[in-house]
Amino acid sequence: MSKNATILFVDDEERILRSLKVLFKSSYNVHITTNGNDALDIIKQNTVHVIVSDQRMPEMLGVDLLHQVKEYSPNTVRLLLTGYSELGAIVSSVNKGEIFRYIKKPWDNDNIQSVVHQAVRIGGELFNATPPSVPVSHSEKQKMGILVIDDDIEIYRMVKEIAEPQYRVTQGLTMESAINSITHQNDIAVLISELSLAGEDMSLALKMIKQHAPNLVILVLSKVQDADSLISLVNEGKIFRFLLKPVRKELLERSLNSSIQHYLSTQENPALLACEIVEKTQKGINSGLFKRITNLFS
Amino acid sequence: MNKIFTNIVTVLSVILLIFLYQKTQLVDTEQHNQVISTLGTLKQLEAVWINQVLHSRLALNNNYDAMADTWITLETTHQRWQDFQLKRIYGENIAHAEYQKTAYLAQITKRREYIEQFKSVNAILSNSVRYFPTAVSELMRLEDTKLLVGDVNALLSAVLRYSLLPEKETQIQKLIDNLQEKGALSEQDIRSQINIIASHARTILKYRPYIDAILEQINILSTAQKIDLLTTTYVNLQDARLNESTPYHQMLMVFSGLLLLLILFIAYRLRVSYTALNRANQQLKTANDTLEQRVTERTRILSHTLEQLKDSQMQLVQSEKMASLGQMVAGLVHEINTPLGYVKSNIQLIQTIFSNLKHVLQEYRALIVNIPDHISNGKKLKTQIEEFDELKEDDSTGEELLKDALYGLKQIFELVINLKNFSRLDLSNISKVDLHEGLNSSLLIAKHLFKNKITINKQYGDIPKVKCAPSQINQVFLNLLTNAVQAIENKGSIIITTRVKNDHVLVLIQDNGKGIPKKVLPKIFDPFFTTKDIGEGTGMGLSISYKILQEHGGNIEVTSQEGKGTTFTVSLPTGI
Repeated sequence: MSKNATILFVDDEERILRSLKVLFKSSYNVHITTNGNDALDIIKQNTVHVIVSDQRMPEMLGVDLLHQVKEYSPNTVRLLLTGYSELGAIVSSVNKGEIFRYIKKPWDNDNIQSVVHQAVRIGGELFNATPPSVPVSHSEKQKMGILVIDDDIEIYRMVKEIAEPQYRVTQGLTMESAINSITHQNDIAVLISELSLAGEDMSLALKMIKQHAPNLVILVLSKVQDADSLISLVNEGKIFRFLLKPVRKELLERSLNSSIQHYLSTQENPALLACEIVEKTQKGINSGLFKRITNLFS
Repeated sequence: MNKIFTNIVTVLSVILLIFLYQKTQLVDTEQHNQVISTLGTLKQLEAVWINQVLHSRLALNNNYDAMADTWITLETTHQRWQDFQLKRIYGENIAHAEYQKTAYLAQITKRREYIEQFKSVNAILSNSVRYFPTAVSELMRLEDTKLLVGDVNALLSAVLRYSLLPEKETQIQKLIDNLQEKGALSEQDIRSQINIIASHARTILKYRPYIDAILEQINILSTAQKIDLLTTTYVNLQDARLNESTPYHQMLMVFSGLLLLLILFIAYRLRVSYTALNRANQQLKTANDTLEQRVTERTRILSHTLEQLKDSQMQLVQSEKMASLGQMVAGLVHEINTPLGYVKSNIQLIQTIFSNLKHVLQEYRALIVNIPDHISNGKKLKTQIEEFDELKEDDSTGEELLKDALYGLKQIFELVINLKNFSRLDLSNISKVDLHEGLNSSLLIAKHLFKNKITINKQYGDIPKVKCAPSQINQVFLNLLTNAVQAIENKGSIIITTRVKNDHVLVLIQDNGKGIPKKVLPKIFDPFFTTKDIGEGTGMGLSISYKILQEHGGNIEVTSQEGKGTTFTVSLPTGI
């Protein structure tokens, strides 16, 4: 393997860092630090392809660190490695850190290696990609669509108020109609989805949608979830934003704008789509639901 | 407050009553009557007294004893009058009456003086009137008085007539003078006798009109009128007193009337109260009669409530235990996961290093074999290296040890995962689930446990789909099935029953195993409670099951009989 790539591990436990360094030092240039500020210095002074950070650290939370890393070095692929699944931390890691993967402690070496390798590859692609010199003019293109997958009429109305008439807003009231819209309308840019639709769990469907159409930006708008299912939505669904219901209109508007911005940037620079790759979902692939969704896509 | 008011009113009433009574007692009618009667007596006594005087005038004897007695009586009566406490009887306003009284007493004193005078004059007059005829007789008996008979008789009759009716005084005077002139020439004894006669006649002439004058005075000084006036005055005073006390009388009457009314009212109230009391007593008696029945009823309800309360308290304690443990566990998991992370990673790394080393060793060994014996000390070198290679005999031991270490870490990790699952509710993956599917898949997983010793008896009822997290509910089923299998020591059976009760779906998992001892039964849902040997069970299974059902709004209950078997009842609400 090339030693051209540089990775950075941040954790307040030195033994973790030592172990990870041993694991990766043969493949990459490995930087380690126990301190968030040092990590930022390293990011500024080097081309760091991947950063893997703990969440709970005394001086700076992992999410805050990753958020700043995103500002200084947007091409650095960000991963969170933590043993504590706190819902708030996961939500911020999605919304603020826009992390690539969430890795739970204790990790499996093979697993973390494959995730980091993937991240390094993506990081390399991002750093190498040349941004287009001329931005694509949107006015010539057809109107972008926003699909609201929620049976709550209030949410649909709120999105219409925010997005219309600049964007085309449609509503999917069932899983079938939602997937049907996605497969048949090629203008859809953003999904605003509830996780529970007409008594059914949408998580699996969203993960498969993302797998099928990585360029779609998924904004989840739902009630409190448990940490594990949210982690799987990050890793297997690459959701771009997670908002808790009830949501304020301003927040929804800001998130929607970010989502559209993100969609446009991937349109302009398709290399960015590398980041949208998801882990293949393992759970529930034998269920009837999986088959139903698969059929809908075929 | 009311009582104080009543007391005040009572005291005031009594004071008013006494006051009015005193006011009305001012008029002493009895004393007044005595005064009036005393006055009457006085008037009567005086009349008697005057009668006696007049009588003594006409009577020839000069005995005044009767008169004196009457006077004494009068005096006594006066004294009695004086003894009366007139001011008390008639009030302060008796000045006029006193004045009249004084006037009366003055007059009667004066009258008495005249009477005394009358007594002395009358004595002289009576004496002359009595002795004048005697003296005439004496003269007639003397000798040589025949010439005088005519004159003497004339005088005698004239004087006697005068003593009855005092007139023709001058004629009598002439007769006296005439007699004396005739007698002047007579004998001494005749002359002296004539002088005696003349002296008596003259005395009569002198005192007869005088006594009349005295009598007239006595008559004039009659006190009857004064007594009458006094009587009137006293009566008037008495009337005034009566008038004065009349309003008090009336007030007393009115007040007494009011008091009477009050008493009547109180009596009425008492009567009413008594009636009410009687009725209340009756009711009390009736209530008493039913009380025992009600107490029994209430006791039954209370003991039922107590049981419910105990039940819910137990559930509360249970969920409280779970909650606090959950919080503790959540913090603990992070702390464990960090060292677990690098220990696991390090062991995996060492595994790689170890296998690399092994590979290198094998290469060396292969190289050693290839050392030719003919080179100097070649054989000796080979032997030395082989002796030095201690790993050759058991080079797989290290790998096994590392494998075991990883296995141990996996167990620790699973325990942590279990703890973590226990401390939170998996809200995701909630959908409408056919519990029969879940039971069947759990039975499938647990199949290897049944072997040939356990028969499964499914008694599935017609139940609706239930909204729940199937993975968790399946975990509960698997846990209960595993427990049931472990409870059956030799051969036995497990009965799985499903049915709807009210708005819950019930799943009963019943075994005919050894049962749970009574003293253990309350603890089986406690975390870390286990009857299995150390290392065989975590003691978390049932408490996790309990927690899962609590968070689904359901419940898990157990009944057990030692030696006969145990039944776990899982209940889940049908419509969340």
